[in-house]
Amino acid sequence: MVRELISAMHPRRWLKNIFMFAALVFGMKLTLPDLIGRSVVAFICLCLLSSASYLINDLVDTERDRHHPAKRDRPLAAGSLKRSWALGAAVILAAISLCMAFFVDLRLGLVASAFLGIEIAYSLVLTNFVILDVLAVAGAFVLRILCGSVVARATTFSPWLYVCASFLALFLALCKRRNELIVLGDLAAKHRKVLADYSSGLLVEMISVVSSSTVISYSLYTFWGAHVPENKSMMLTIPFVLYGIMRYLLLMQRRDLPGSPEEILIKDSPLVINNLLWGSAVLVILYLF
Amino acid sequence: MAFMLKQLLITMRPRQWTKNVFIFPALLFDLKLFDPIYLGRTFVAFVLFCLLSGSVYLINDLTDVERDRQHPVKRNRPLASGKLSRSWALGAAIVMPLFTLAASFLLDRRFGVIALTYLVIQLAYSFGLKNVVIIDVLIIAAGFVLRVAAGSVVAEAARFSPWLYVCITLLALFLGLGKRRNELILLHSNALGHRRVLREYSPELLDQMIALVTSSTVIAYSLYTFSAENLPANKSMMLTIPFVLYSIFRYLYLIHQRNLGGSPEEILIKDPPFIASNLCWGVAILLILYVF
Repeated sequence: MVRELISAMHPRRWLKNIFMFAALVFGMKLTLPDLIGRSVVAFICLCLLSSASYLINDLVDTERDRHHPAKRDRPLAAGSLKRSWALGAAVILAAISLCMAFFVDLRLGLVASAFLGIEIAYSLVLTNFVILDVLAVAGAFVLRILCGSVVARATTFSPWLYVCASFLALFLALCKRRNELIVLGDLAAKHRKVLADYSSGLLVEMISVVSSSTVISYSLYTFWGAHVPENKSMMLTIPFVLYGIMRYLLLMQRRDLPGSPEEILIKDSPLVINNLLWGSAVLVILYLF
Repeated sequence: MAFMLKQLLITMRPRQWTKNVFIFPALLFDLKLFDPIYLGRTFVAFVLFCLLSGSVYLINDLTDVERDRQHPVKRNRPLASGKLSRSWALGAAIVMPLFTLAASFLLDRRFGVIALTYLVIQLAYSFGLKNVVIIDVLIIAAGFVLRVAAGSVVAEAARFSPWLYVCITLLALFLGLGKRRNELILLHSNALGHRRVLREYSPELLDQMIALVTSSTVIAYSLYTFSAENLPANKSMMLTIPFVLYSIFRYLYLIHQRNLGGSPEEILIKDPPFIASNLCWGVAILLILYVF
């Protein structure tokens, strides 16, 4: 039961929470041990909180998941995890992590509550509303970063990065919808009700808005962000962002993706190499120059 | 002798040298267009880049000789058709880059470094990177940025707005992606044999990427007109944005409705509305930068 419970908590998706450390890195606090400690605690809070929301999500979607080729094996859909266990675990996880969050920092507690609220609202309601569903995903993303910013006391975290992160999250969410439409075809709406309201053409247009906005807001950060070196060397990292977005667009056209659209971020080696290069370039430019 | 030299010149694709005008923007935008010393330095840099890019074509044709012979059009190239002897081409391919690089380092050490980087990147493109999806168009863009950077170094441009670099990167990506789209649509299965990378692209994907780079180009240019240092305080530079918009729309039109885009250098000199828009833009820029 415990193993099934952990599997239902989707530990793989915790990876999304590393975006929390953005404020620590870009706010130049990576050399301060106490802030790193606070951030790690906040990271654990976020992982537990998101697990609680995944449990709730799977509880709500159990019926639908039973008809999905891959999701039918999930513990709740397969029946190997009792509904009462899952519900109990969700409540306890949420309570523990919210207490931890309020204990670390009052503002972290507030942001974490908002995060949980938006995740639950997504699972229960927003997931069925066109456009609002992707906005909710992006909202949760920004709240993750905000959590990191609060615990790292990052007062000079560039606002452009929030803008950039929102667009990037929208980009990823829209690309995911598009890939589902491509792969599932006519069955798409059965698997995700909201997909009936999207069309490939609409998604392509929305993706072009958010992808170009991502590139531009990132460029604005490299010019006007806080802590960026005077010599504008941060702009050397723009090509990595361009490559990453283009590569992702390319992958999302494929019918035979080796994994879910999120997993691609850690499975496609050119993309991984690109992201690592980007990360090292940012670290070198911020901390060594 | 004269015949060989002519064939050598043809192999160096003088028509492609128009791309090297991207050495001049730094001079223009840094208000040094009428400074004879910098104008001279930039002109020398332009000639050196022409020789350098010519050498790359020469090396490229030398390695592709076998494949070019199979191609309906490229079989008429001097090397593929045998009009230019291999020994001549080989000799020139060795002597010319060395001479050009030496001259570049003499002109300015930093210019030499940029010229060397350009040569290395272009050779990497010819010998493999042209078959790597996305990297292929990024390399083309890098070529343009290096030209602009080279111009900026020789003109000692201190006030050249970084936004123009972003703008040029995106613009070059636009041209590169437009070219891929054109090849994909016109040549169908033939194209796949000659340019393997086209298999990875699809028209929809290219359209998405083109949408990404075109809108970013417009915004990056607008940001330049607002935020660059040496512009008039009354923001009159933003009056030039419509020309950029028109040129981009016109180019998109040529790509989509007329199936052009295969050779940007020809559109640049052959489509009257496009030329008119670019000229108006150029005149407006000159007036705003130098007269007001």
